[in-house]
Amino acid sequence: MDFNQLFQTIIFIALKGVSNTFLLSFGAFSLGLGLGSLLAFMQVLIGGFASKLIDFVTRVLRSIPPILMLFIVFYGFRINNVVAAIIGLGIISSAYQSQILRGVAEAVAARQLDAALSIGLDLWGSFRSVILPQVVLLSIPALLNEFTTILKDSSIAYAIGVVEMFTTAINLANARMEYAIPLVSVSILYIVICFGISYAASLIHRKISLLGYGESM
Amino acid sequence: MKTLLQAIDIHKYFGKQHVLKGINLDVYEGETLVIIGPSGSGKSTLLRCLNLLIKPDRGRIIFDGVDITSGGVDINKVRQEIGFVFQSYNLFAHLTAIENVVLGLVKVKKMSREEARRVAAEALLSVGITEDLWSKYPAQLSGGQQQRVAIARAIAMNPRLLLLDEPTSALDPELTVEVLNVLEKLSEKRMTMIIVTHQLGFAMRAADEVVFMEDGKIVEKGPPEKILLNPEKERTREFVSRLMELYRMERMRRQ
Repeated sequence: MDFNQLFQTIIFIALKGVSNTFLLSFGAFSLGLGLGSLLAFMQVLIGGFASKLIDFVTRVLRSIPPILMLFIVFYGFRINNVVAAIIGLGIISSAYQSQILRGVAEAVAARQLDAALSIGLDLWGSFRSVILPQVVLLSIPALLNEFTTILKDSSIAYAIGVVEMFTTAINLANARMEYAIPLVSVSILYIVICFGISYAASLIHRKISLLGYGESM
Repeated sequence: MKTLLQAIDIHKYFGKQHVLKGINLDVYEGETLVIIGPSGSGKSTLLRCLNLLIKPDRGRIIFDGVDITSGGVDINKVRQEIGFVFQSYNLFAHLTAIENVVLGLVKVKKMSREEARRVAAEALLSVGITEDLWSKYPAQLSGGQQQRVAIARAIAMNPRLLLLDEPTSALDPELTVEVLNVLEKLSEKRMTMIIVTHQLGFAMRAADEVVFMEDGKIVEKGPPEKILLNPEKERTREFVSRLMELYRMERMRRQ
């Protein structure tokens, strides 16, 4: 393999595709975080029937293949393909992110809610001053992990014609009639980005361990 | 003596399990009341009922002349007056030692941050937590230090009543002593306290009254000399003698 050509291909794909990959990833992640927080918040604080209903909805969302969800949003609503990809990936991610946030919130509340109430804070005050700051802190590693999942899943936006990293690589390969270099190049890009993020997650995880939180959280 | 807290016929069920079966308890202002009893006898549940962390299914709790189990009472207000110390400390893990104490003063008592830090510093010093430890996170402190910060967090709120749920049972014997010393000092200062503990030496020295609970009921209560040395009921005698034996073994092990 020609390393010079490999290097040039990586640069080409990065320049042409990385912006859309990040646009899709950040967009879908933010949408998922917003919706997911809302769902988790409702499950933890309201509970009861609302909680069961949300459980069911998130289970349904997690059963739908991402590519199918993209097709539903894109062909169903006939909207711009980038917007459709963000919405489709974001909705599925909200189901996963709500589960992450809910799990952490319940674990924190189990140990700290009584203590917060016992100094005279009301339920909302306990949530805001004691539970929420810890949930934010403890959720970061798992949420970063979810971000890398979205980042990789964003490649399926290829199917509705969004020109991101993967699409750029395939188009290049089709034009050159040569697949090895473009595919290796785009693989390297995904690997470098995911390694960077998981390294950041592990740094934060270590910092959290210093606060005495167990491995399981 | 003025009655500060009165529990009248408290019942609690967890599902079908009848955990508290009609508890009647009077606590006088300034007294130290120690509750002993086998595990599963409902001691912790009773303590949590008294500040309504658990809602009793039947019965009334009168605190300072007010029925706090009736609907109209703001329970958050009541809890400001009743401190609680947990077996596993339950410090706020994301806050430093001093911030653990400051939080309630600022958010609940609405003090300014400077005033809150001053009050918190005083409370921490009174339990022997020196300034070098104030900016440490709970995980960086020993169990005994954590529990003393938890006591400081409770007493800084200037409560009328302090509830302590097995405050030393998660600690090594060496660290138990430093927490018990703090509690003895509070008892001498006539802080009203209800303490679930099996530290017989402490109960002997500090308690005004000892209550023996079993199976969701109060079996016997009275001054420590009577309950610990010369109880009336056979069940109390059995339990106390077993505790005494453990206490002796523990002392021998340490010597």
